[in-house]
Amino acid sequence: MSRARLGRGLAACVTAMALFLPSVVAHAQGVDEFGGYGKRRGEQSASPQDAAFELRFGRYIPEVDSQVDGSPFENTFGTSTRYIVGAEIDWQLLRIPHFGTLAPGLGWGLTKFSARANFSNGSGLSDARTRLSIMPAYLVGVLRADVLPRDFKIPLVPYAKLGFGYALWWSSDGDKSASDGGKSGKGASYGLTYALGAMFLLDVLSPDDAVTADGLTGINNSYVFAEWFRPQLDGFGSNKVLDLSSSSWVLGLAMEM
Amino acid sequence: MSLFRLFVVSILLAGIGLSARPARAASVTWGLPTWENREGTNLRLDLLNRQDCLNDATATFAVSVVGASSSAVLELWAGTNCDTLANRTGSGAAKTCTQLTDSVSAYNIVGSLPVKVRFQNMVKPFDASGEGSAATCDLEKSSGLVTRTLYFVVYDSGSTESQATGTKQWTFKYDVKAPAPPTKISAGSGEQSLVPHFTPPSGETNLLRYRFYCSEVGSPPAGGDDPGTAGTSTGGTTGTDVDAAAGADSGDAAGSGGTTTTSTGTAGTAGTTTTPTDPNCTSTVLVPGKAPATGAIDCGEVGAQGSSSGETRPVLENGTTYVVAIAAEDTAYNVGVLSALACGTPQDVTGFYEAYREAGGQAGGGYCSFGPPRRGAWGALSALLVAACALLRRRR
Repeated sequence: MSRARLGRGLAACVTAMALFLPSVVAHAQGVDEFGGYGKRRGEQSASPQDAAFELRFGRYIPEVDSQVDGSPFENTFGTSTRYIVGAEIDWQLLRIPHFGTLAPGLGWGLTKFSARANFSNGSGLSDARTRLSIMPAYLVGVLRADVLPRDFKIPLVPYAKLGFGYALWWSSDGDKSASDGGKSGKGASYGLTYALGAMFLLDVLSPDDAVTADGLTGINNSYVFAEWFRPQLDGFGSNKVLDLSSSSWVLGLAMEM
Repeated sequence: MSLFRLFVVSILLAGIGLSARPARAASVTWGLPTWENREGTNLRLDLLNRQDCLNDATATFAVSVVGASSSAVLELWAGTNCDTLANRTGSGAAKTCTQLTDSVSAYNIVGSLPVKVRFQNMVKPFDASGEGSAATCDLEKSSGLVTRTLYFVVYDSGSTESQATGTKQWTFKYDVKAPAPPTKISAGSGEQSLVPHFTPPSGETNLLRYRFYCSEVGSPPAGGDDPGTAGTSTGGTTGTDVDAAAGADSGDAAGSGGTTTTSTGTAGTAGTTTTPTDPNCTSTVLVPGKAPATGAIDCGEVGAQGSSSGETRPVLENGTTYVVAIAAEDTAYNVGVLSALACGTPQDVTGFYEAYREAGGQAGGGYCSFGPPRRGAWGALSALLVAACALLRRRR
């Protein structure tokens, strides 16, 4: 597949995603029946850019066993890789000239673990299912250094995130909520959340399509990204909080609008 | 003489005028039916099942007809395109309708005429004659939901010309065949529960759920069907099936049962599957091929969509061996007969949260429970707060 064709495919994908978002009116550029027209990407004629939106997919293994004796999580759910899906939206309220944007961001994710429960007498696995569901959310400050594509025509945007994370979790056995000793198996965990990553600007693969997407939907830039993500949801070391910290990679698609 | 001619011409003209008169248009109106002899609550008026058929459910429509000729009659038919005379009077495949009521005069039915229709007639094969009966409920050949339309037919009894206008039909659905039970039954162990595994019945297109019925092991009812032989699975940590399958497949519909004895194996190893017979997996109240008898425990259900296993409600006692059987239910709420039997023994299991607590974990208690941070963590929180404030200030 040629580079331009790949770029068109990705741009079309991102455009389709944008249809599910509130439309943003484009201003500086125009679109006619032949597609978009106006100045090229990176020049200051694009529609206003106020927000970034991410669709995220990554690995997630909570560090539940780090705060207790033994390995209840690993013994129950095993060691295989588990995944999380999520989304994030940033409000890019501050632009630092010749550097990038600073934005508060709100993220959300969901993951579930399920396995056959162990017999209490150690004789193996029962047929009954036991489950743990985790729904993390976070409020972070996001610093995206888009100086590289803007000033140096290099289609990479490094970024960093730092903020506060909060996750709801709940466990169930079979069809009923888990409990033990009168304590229900659900709660909330919190802590710092931080990430480092880099985004690749897809617009360079098909600049014309990027201009069209901006004119039609107000999407200024679209990216694929990879990041190292660390929700340190251990209640700042509290032993009364389920440690849902994780340290893993995340991949996704991002758009700036 | 001229007067006579004038008279003859007048008669001829009148005859021509009458013969050229446009067809009469009879406006038919009717209300939704009220049903008798149906069981259950929140019943849909247009969805009927086998029990309704066996109970001889009867619908009453309040019908009005305005504008029909004095020789017009009203009949109710069920089938396809019953407005067309040929579909009502044809024979063999050409007949696509069955008559539900005798003809009554349709002339000037200004009030609401109550018209009764028997469900057994509504589902009668088109080529069947006579009144429907309980035996009619066994004549349906297709499986799944069947859609038929009921027609309010008004026509001139002399010319057979149709006169009905307006909304003259009502569509209803029915399924008078209860679904077959699942096969290859086995049962794993859960905490105060069993986990039945099964193979869904084939050819059932409108399954709603599977119902689980449990009972303690007991002798089969005297004079009842031989519960047959059962397969046994021993030792599996996986609780693998077993040869309930073999039992079910080889036995007759009213007889065979499968038995699973679980958890004598060691952790992490798959159980071996053996197929000895287990005459002990029988029940006094659960007999394969029959409806569950009084005394059976209604021990749960699982939705049919994509299911090949489920878990009973936690209403059983750990350490006691139970028999479980499964009946399928379709979207018309027909519950079929019981499957082959499987046996299992609920045992104490340790779920994730219980394991976490046993390992010393203290989290839980609800979403509003709060575990305070460790000492020293307040510094990090304060730094975050200061950074956020600085950002806001810079923005202003």
